[in-house]
Amino acid sequence: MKYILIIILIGLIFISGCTIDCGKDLDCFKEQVQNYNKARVNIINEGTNIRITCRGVSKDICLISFKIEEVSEDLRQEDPISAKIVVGKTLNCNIPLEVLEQDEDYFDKILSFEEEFDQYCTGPIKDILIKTIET
Amino acid sequence: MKGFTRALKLELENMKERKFSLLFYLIAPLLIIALFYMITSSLTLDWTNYASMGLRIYDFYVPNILGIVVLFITTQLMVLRIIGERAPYGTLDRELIAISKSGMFFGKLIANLIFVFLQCFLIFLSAYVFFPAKNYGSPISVFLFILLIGIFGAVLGFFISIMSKNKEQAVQLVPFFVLILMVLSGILIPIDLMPTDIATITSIFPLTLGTTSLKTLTLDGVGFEDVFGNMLFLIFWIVGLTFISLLKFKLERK
Repeated sequence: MKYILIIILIGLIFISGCTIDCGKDLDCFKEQVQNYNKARVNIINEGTNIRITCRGVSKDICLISFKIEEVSEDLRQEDPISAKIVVGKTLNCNIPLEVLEQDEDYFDKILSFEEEFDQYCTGPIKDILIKTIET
Repeated sequence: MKGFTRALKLELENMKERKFSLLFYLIAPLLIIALFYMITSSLTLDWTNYASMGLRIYDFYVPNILGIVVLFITTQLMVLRIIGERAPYGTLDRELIAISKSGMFFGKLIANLIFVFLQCFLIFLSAYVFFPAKNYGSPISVFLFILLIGIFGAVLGFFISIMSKNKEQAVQLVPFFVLILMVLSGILIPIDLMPTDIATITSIFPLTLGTTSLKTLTLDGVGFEDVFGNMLFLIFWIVGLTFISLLKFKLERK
């Protein structure tokens, strides 16, 4: 009996930590983030696949991770070295909840590397960009 | 349960008596990491895809070094725990105080896993706090994978100890297993460059799972969900090897 209880307890811990998969529906993802739920979405644009994951909220800050899962064929042919470098890399952003609630376009701003990107984000992608600019 | 508690106490007493040997197991990996830091921390990486991130050689190789060091040290720690107490080297303690075989098995294993936990924590601190390597990932996930490699190493050492006929054989088998796992782990030759069939097989080997997870966590900054599958495979290896060892130990005549 106690083993069954342990298995159920472990199962509950796993389920409670699960992330809601919004597929390709960005609105669903935004809604989940507004409700402080862990969620993920894939944005596919001309063959480039970016996965956005909300890892949860802590101390009025929402941790949102951007991961490049695939780079489009055009980009790969245009700059094969950079395309190979960025695949699998992430950008991890600590976005204040007030920004999430007020600004609906924060994803676009981060993905187009506006000021918000530098302010809230760290990770390999940012370092690659800084290094590229330096050289 | 009573047998387990007695075996656990007995093993903890034994560990107290071996304090200098255990101290060596604690200090040796820290020295290796410190030495590696001294040699590589000022060298810039310029031959892999990661070069464009401004990484040092130290940042790039620390996950590999940790994998090898943790696996080797923990396997070595456990390899004489059973064979070292068998005839003609000694009498298994359980025979003296009438502990069941499974009680003794888990008593010894758990007592040593407490030490492995401490060892892995110190290794994690030395690699990511005292001699800090680049880490884009969650420190908890990184520590978890170091610990899983450590637990696997301990279980592998225990497995070798139970399977061996004498101390010499047990000591010979440790480098044999560790070196095979190392060669096939992608540490020396990247998995992408291996023949496809071999790459498929080696990708589920424990050291491969551990080091690739550490690398993607620390250098790519991925989240736990990206390495969750690897964690399950590693746990599967640990549980599987423990089960086989227990079965062999219980089926022994003496």
